[in-house]
Amino acid sequence: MTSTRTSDLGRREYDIVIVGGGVVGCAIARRLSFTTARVALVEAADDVGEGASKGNTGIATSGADCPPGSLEAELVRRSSPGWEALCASLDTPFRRIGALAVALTADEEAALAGLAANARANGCRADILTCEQARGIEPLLAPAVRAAVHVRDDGIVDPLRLTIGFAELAARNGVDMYLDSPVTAFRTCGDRLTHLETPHGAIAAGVVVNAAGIEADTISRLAGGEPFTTWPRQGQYWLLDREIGSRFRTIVGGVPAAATRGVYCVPTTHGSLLLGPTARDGTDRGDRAVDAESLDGVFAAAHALVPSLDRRWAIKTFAANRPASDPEYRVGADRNRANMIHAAGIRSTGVSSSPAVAELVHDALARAGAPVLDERPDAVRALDPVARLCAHADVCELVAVDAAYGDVVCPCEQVSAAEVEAALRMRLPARTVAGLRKRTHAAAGRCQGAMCLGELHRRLESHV
Amino acid sequence: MSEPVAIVGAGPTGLACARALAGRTQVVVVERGPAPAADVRATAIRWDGRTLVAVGPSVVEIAAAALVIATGTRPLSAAELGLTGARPEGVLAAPTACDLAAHGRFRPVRPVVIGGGRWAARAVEALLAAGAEAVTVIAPTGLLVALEPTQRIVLHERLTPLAVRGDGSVERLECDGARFDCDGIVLAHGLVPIRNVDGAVVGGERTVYAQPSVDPPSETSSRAAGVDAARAALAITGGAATIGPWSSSQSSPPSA
Repeated sequence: MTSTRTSDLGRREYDIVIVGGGVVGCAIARRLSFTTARVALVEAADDVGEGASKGNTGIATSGADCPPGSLEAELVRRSSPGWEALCASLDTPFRRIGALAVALTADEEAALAGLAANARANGCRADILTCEQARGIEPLLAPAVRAAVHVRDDGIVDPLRLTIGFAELAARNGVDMYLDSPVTAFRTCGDRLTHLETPHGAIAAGVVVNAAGIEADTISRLAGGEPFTTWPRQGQYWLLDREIGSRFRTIVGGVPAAATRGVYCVPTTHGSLLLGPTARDGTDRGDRAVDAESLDGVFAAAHALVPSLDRRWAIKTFAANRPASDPEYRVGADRNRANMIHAAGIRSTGVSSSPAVAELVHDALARAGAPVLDERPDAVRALDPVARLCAHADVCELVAVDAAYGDVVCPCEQVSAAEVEAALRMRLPARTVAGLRKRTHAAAGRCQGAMCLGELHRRLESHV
Repeated sequence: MSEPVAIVGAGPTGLACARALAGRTQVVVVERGPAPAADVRATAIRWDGRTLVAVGPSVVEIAAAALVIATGTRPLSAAELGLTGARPEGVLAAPTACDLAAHGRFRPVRPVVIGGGRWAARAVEALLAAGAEAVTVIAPTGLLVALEPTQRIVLHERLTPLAVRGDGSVERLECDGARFDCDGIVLAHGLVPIRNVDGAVVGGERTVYAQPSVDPPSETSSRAAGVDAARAALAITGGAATIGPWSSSQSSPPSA
């Protein structure tokens, strides 16, 4: 029995149904799970976090380069101080390591003052540093660096563990998760939506929340809501080994130009290093192909910032689509449908703003008459953390408490059987090898599963 | 000599190293798989230049004078091959492909195998046994093992694989000047060392790497690499630098 209710023929009536199991939809589900409202989440894919939440830098920005005065800037700013506490409650790794925007040319150096002013306008601590000061913070920087802006409060988060953590906590508090459930149509009565149709049947909803990411326009159109345009903005990335990633002390990026925000070198919470992204607007929402020219461009840009980068550290290249939209950051009640709330057009800062987006949606739901004002005293507020073997400070104690930690399934990422079993026993368990990888990082390392995928398949099947 | 040399890996190379060190210094062989000749059944995870940490049913900490990494090799990953394009289902490294095919979990009808060495030959065998109608072998640097073209084995030597195409499931492999429709791709080209002991992935302190990348692997190359590693380990520990006698099958004894 999985946590999905796709085969459940029982009650399918909810006060609120969230469409979309990305970081935004799952953040909303968690927030609403603290209330007495009956809540469900429907997701087209077979797991949460399968869209833009899966392929992003993992930067939890403090908002330095958001447009001042925008809703995006406001929501990112509200979210930023809470990351440590939130991630601790969601068993999600987070580190506030700061970021450097590095100028290599005179033009870029001239742009730093504007960058710092923009950051301060958004309430971010931002300092302009000399080359020596910047290299003091990040010794890997090229000696040719002219100057940099240091944004101290930027952090890195595991965006998949965050999304899954949001969803898991929501599920523990009784939010029903309908996976493999694309919304195909809505039933209406007057100006209200009454049901969502899915291939597995209809679900009655008091209020519908549109958090469908890149498909937010489709959902709004199916619902007869306000017109909305989304399109994919493709980003290509390199993933480099933790042998180089673990040497980074901070996020390193170029100076954002008019056309693009530039390429970043982002240490991940697993110790590896991401280079990217590119930004290319397209039309094919399923296009996740990388090309040599774009990858070469990313690597060259990153290499100019950090000369010690070497392609021999590459363990993976990949592409992902983040939602671009018109309008951006459309959060609030639909103009046509009385009981639809949008959390849409959440562009590339979706991870960074998701906690505050959830609060804003909660408030909008209250205004729309949804029963979200009564908080449940018995709601679970934090997940029990699952200890991880990799980089654990006291391996002896870990194995003494649970011998399964001594059974290493994925040697590259040092993922133990204990962690794999925990991922299979969640309320929202891994149902595929990809789901196991997202929850444990098994098969995500140097050999990309060459040595462990067979064992992961066996463990998965023994649970099904 | 109080502290032993720790050897990670009880394959032919690691055991050759252990034999060469026997009588000269203490040796502890650590192996994560089933291996009767290993001293410790555990996965080595960390090395700080002094102590090797290995986890198994309990945690073993081995204070060692030197570390020999003899954990074998694997074929190149997609990124290491420089493959671009999509990341659809059905593109597997040869060790995984063979494992899954043997258990009926990977059964492409018209797969492509990239590689011309031992792993490619194993993958072809496993895929045919799993029911593939025909296997296309693309050997970027030519064939390194005997593989005869048959009705079910199509060979293409010296083609460079460039990009994977497919939406959801793999549909095609593009090479320089050729493209192959397929429903599975097995990565079996080249050999890179498997190194997963933190602190000894590259340039580890007091660390010797014994991972011959000769394709196909041979007893001779494994033994030679093991003996070379033994000599290097002894040099680190300050022991005698000559090891012998050399076996008669060794074609050219390394100079002392």
